[in-house]
Amino acid sequence: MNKLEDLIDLITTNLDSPEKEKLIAEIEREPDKKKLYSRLKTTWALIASERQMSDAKVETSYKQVRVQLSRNRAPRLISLVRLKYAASIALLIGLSVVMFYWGRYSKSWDETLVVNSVIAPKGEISKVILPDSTVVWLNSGTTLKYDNHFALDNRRLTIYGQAYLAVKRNEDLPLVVSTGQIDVKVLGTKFDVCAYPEEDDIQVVLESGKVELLRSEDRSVLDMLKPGQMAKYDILNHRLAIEDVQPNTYMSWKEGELLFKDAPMSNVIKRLERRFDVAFVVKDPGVYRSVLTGNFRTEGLKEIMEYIRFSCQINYSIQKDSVSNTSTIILQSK
Amino acid sequence: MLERESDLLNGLKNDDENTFKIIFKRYYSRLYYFIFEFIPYDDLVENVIQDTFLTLWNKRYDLDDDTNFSAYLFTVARNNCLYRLRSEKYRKKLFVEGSADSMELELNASILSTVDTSVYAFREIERIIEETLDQLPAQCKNVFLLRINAKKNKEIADELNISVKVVEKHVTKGLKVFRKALKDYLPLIGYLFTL
Repeated sequence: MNKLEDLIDLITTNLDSPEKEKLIAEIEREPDKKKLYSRLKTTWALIASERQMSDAKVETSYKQVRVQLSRNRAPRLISLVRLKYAASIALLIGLSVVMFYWGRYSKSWDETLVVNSVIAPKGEISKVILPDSTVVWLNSGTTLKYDNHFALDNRRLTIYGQAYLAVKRNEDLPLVVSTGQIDVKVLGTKFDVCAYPEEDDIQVVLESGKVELLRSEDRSVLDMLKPGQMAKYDILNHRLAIEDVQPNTYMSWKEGELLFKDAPMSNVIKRLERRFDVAFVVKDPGVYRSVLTGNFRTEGLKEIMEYIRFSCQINYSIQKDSVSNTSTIILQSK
Repeated sequence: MLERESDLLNGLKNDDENTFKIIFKRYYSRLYYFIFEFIPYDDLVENVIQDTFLTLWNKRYDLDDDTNFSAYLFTVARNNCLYRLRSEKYRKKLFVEGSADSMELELNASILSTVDTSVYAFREIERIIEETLDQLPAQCKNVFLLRINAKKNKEIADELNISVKVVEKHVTKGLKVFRKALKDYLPLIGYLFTL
């Protein structure tokens, strides 16, 4: 029999066991035969690789990989919006650590407590996936902290700044967001927390699910929020007010939108500073008398400043420091 | 549309998951069937290929600017596969030592370890094979593809609703073309192996 034909039969799995054993032994003995078999086998494998698997099977497999992506890793920082003036790399601090043990390994976790910080620098909006699959969007100038026991025996987060959270439901382990003044306790919901240290109030807006608001000090329950409600906590007077709102308008920042609705200029300045990583200098207090209403999505800082000049009684000039590569915007009332 | 390799590479390095998915969809089935020819065990191959893509994602920042995804993924998949087969435990799970199947697996593993997955040869051969397969008459190609699928003649006959005799005829014809084409490939395939 033709020796090539034998090999092809072996490759195409058309040989019975005894014949197969004999031929393989032959191949192993004769280098030339092995070389030929190698070539045929590889070619055959390449031909086979041209086959198309069903989309459904590929999709299923992709989903499995996707799960492992979010599970295996240290939290991943995804830059959602590369802003015009943004530094391109988001900072991950203290991440060297992070070996998360899951469910079944939970007895062997590291006893020492390590705190991880994730920072979205000024000028950037970032997205983090936490070990429990909770997804957190961080607005510019926001710090998120949690320890290495997160998702094991606690789900405690500390947030300085603004974050939108899509919390993975876990009845046994409520997720608690601490802002220093009030805590937000949830089982599985979508909500927005705005608690920049330089601001006078803390806002919590609930999109879906249920949240409990607690006083950080003694963990006493202050109130509950329903979807579509916003809690505003006045830090100076320790007062909590709840009102009905359009949740979307408080969450559109994660798509890169800047939304001002009758916003006092002091607030506008802080938000622009964070968003574009610039500094403002206010030359006279008259500037603060203006309020701004406007919706910006793709506009750069310059366009927004033009809009402010047009709609408020404010003139501006931009000073560039070529050494430090920073911009300062000087505001003056007209 | 992301098409060029350099665009895909940029997407990956910018943590774009969509890019990752595009690459996954483009190469998953190829890698799967290629490895499956050497190691015909579903679960094992599935694991090997999934790990291959996880490696791509985890190493995305380290990828060279001129990375060829096909070559990279084939290489990682091959190494993954060989690594698994080195494990005693895995082998025991798969088959009885000393059986014909285990001998064949040993042989295939040793061949896989000599395959050079470097860029050029692979792409070129893929192209030639695609062309050759397309040259086969439609029904002959169908039969051939099913045959690759390790189906027996009887199963192919049932699936295509033709007689076993006709299947045999197609197989003989396909093999003839295959052999002729192989003759042309041989000098090229030579590049696939380290000396």
